[in-house]
Amino acid sequence: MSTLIFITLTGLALAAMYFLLASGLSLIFGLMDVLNFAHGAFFTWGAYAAWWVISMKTPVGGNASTGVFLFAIVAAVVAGAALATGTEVVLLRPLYRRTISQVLVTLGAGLALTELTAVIWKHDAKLFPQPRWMATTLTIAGARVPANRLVLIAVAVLVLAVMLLFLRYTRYGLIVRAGAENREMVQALGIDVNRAFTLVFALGGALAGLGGVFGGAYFKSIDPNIGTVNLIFAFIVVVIGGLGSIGGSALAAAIIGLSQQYANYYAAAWLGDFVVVILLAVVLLVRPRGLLGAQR
Amino acid sequence: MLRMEGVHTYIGESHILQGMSFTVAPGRVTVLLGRNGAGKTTTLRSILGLTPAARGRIDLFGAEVTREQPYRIVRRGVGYVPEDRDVFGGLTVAENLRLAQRPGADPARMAMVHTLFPDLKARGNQRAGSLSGGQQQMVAIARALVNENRLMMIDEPSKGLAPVVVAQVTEALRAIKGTTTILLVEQNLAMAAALGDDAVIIDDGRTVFTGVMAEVAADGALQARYLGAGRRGEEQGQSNE
Repeated sequence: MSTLIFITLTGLALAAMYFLLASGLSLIFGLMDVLNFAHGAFFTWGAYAAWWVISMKTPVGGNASTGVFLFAIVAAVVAGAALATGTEVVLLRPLYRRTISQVLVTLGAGLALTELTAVIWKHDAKLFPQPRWMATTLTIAGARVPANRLVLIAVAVLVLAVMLLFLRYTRYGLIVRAGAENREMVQALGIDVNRAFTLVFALGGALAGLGGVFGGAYFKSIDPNIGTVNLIFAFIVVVIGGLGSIGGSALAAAIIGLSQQYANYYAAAWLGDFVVVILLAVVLLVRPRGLLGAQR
Repeated sequence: MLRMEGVHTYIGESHILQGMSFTVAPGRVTVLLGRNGAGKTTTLRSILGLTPAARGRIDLFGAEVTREQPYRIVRRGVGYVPEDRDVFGGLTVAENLRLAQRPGADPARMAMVHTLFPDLKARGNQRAGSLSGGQQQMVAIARALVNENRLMMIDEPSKGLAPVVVAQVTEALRAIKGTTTILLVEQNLAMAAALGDDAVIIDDGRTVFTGVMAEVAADGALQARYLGAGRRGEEQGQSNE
């Protein structure tokens, strides 16, 4: 039983990280029809920004203080949001309605930004210090679970709640929901859609940066490819959950994170990723719009 | 109020507007008439900048707006009711109206809209996508009315609606006539005649007639030549009466 609890909480923590990356992707695609392949780089830069802040204030091999870790979170969120805003304003804005060009430019930006981290901080993995209380394990029904997994789950739940409230009760939330249905009509109501695009991109980048911090804490180390590897699963989450659906992303992330962990532990260590691909294929065949996606 | 001068607009390779010119006088209802494919909807979309004009000039409220962004044109005081209504189906009726209400809009406008369309207030929490075609048309018109617009552009409000609903929509538009300038695209001659003061007929993307609506309504030959209407319009007129 304790093993099941451990595997379940680990799977949910992985799901939480996927969700932080996928929710921004889903919002961006929902409103702007942009497949943002640079999103993984925002995650990576968030992780490195946090690591840089922590390593400046933490002795080698030591634990970060809670204050420094909180400051690192702010740095990661700002780094993700700033990179995303720059990408949208400089690279994507001139290319709206040119889908192939958008894909190519985000792919190129993602590769360049990832390579830039390797140039600055080298390819080798960096240990990711975290507060002592996050690195310790807690006993839950006999299972010894690292506290950082529980924190990651709590952060994702909080982000989900805030995003659902944002989408439902704010004017920008209304614009995002309406824009996902009919962008042109939103403009015809006198709304500056470009400003909404930038906001959504910045929000998505901020969430990716946040994911980067907790991804670092989850894996205990980071390297320049951390975002790229997780981006693949985030795209799968977005497709299974339904493009543009935040609730769908949360549900799909949970399904994928748990399936990966259960398959890896109870079947074979290599099977987790394979199960995810099978799930993707089944959803695409049976329900192409995803679990909670709207008909487009 | 509105002046189009030699406007050419393309959709892809198709040359839709081929030198459109006409004016809309303030305070009047100008009906834009023409056969299917003549360029009526493209005319409205060009004015709004949704399908930008390639050549020519569009002046609105005394300023040139030919190359302006759609949202800026709308903020000058234009309400737009599109041909296919385009309500946001996933949003509630109240959310559709709230989204349309521009910051700083007079709250009394919302009360006026609810007086004009009491059904929309009752269905405020219903998803707009679940409404009937007629109710969706009310939402589309109401969205344009929640702001104090100087010009309303309404594209085929009777399209796809049952005669009884067309009569309701006509009544609603009659109620706002005189409060703002209206540019109305309408294939239903009876509705056009009931609401229109002036008429512009376009054919193959060019203006072929400008005058008063009563003249078009009385001229069967003009209708037959440019609208392919005649009997259909008369029949619709009878069904609405």
